[in-house]
Amino acid sequence: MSIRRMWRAGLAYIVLLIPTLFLLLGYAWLVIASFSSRTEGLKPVGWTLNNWRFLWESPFGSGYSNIWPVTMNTLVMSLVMTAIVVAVASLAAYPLSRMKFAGRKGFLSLTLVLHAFPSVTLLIPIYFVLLWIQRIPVIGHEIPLIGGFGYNTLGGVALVMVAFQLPFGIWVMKGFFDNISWDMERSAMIDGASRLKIWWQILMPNIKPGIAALSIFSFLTAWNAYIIPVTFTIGRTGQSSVLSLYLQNFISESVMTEWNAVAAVGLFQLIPVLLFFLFTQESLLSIYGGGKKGGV
Amino acid sequence: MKKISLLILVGCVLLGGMFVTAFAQDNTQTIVITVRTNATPPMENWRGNNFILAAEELNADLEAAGDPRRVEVKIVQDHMNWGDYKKEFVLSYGAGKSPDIWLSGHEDVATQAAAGRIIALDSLLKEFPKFNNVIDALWKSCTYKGSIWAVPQDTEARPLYWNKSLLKQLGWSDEKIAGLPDAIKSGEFTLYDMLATAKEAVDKGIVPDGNGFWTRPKNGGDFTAFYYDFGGQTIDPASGKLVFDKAAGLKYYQFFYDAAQKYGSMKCLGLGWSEAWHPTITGGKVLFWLGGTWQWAEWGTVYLKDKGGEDYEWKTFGFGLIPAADKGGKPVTLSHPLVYMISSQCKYPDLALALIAKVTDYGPNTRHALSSTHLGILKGQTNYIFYKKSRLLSDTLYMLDYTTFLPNNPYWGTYSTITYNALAAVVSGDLTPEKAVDFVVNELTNELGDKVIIR
Repeated sequence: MSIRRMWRAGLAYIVLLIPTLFLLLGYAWLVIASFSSRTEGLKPVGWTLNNWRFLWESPFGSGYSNIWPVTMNTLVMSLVMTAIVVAVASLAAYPLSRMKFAGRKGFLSLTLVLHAFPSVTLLIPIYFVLLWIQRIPVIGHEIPLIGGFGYNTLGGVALVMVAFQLPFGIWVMKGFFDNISWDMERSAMIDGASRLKIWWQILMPNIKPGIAALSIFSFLTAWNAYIIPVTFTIGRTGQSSVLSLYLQNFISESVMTEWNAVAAVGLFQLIPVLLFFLFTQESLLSIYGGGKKGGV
Repeated sequence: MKKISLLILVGCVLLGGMFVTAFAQDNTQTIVITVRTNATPPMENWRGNNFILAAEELNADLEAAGDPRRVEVKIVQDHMNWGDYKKEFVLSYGAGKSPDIWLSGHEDVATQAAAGRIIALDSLLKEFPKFNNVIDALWKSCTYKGSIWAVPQDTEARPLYWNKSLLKQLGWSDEKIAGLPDAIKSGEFTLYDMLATAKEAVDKGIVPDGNGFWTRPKNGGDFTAFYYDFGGQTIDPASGKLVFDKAAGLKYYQFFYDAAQKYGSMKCLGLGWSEAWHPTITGGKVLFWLGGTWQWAEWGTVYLKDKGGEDYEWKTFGFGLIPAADKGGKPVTLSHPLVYMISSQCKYPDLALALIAKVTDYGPNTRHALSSTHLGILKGQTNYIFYKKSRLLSDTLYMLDYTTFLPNNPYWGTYSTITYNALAAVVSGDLTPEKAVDFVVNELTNELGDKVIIR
């Protein structure tokens, strides 16, 4: 490598290092603050585990829920939302990618319009939809674990987020389907495979990176969601409360916020996200690569 | 053989016992009562937690009375901001999932009653003589259109606080400082005397310019207390309509205009509570300020923890009523009781009210009062052995004799916002007091039409 090239590479690293440093400083503060009583910049004043006491007791006293049921709620809600998004998006994207039918372009445009809507503008109409779903026996509010798909249920919150995530999901999955060779599908059709069989046995295994990437994005969206859970559930420590709402209990308008405790809970909430990213970043980045022709 | 017979007999007795127990258990009906409260942890946790003990007591009562019903209390308590909290009640009611017992500020009584979301309690209250112990004046805050819709949970006074160390720096003697609460009570020390003292402190560099006298940094009931102080009225008792009194309004806006423009005060509007307001107050940089009795606990446990907590507060801070507007006039304060309401979706309002009756007692209420420094709501509570342990609560309870309330009217939110916007404009110098009154009259008329009376 010539000196000039080395300089160029070095310069690129320096340029990247500066913004990265700010991010790393933020994370460093988060870790340090969560284990100290007080911080002066990045300097801890007195190490303590007290900020992590939410792991074994309610930090707000006996009237408040423990963090574990809330974490379980968040996990269930995120997984339900991810499963529905991946299933529906891939089923919807396949015909949009492969078939020609009336209204195809219009449908694609409409999904984009829905994606452009800020979720806050649709909260009230969605509330009425949830009320309607709530009246359906069993589905409304009697499903174990998720409570159902009505108001103040984990399933209901997941369903609302599915609606907002689907346009993105459909477009991403369509992109992946578009990149798979027609020849493979045609061969399967000549052999007598049905459309559904082709979708399931030929195409889906070939777009695994796309499925992984969409799953991760959907999971992260649900894991960090705030506005939808706060609108459609009761209480920050209620039966359908999730982590982002629980975190708000530490932040008060009138009483001094214990930022070190907030840092600890924030870090706790971040752990699954970091783990997900560490183990799946390759798939995650492939979402921008347009998938792999012919599958993995 | 005898042994076998004996075993069979014992077995039969045990089985019989189990059947009887099972039969007895089958006979009882467990009813879940949901209680939704908003509380700053850990100080205000008794607001909801008292119901856990109340349920045990109520179940014992039900059993003794041969009532097959048993209560299981489900508490949803957190520290939401009040806007989201109130929105949540409306949405959950719409979904048919509203809590049976809902706690909120008394100003919500009118809105929720008018919307049919809560029930009137007049007839049910008679079944629980314990409610006779509630201080009579507080029922006014639970009344709307002649009916009682709620039960007081706690209340407070909003005293005028002062920094004794700063008054000493101004040359005030210990006796004069100690006599200030009485001077206010008698009407000898007025609002403008306070401003003059504040100005003196600013001129002498004891406090920064703008810090002579502070109110809360955002809109809230405190400002209405000053309007009442100048003779203002917010509600017409005959029609229940909101009232704006132009003469009182002019004096009210003139006072805040003078405070900000002439007396080195009021540089507090728009500040963040925990970022600036509390730290500046507790940091000894403001001479007079209007606060709440509940803030005493917050200051001691959070902001002044390292300086000695409550001991430091007693040494450094003094408090009294909001001084009268004129010499010899009556000082005021304002109370904003939080109240328990029963949803109209509650299937067992008698049980819900029975639970509320259990927590409206000297023990449970004093527990909450002591940990949160809210005032007691019961007659003779100052004589209760544990209530007496709190010097602050005992020393401020007399303020309830001078207290005022916000009106129970569904349109109070609009009224409050308009009158506050004018006040903020007067403090910033954007409006003169006269123009502020014109602004309020125009806005109220446009927004509320005949729902408000302009006098």
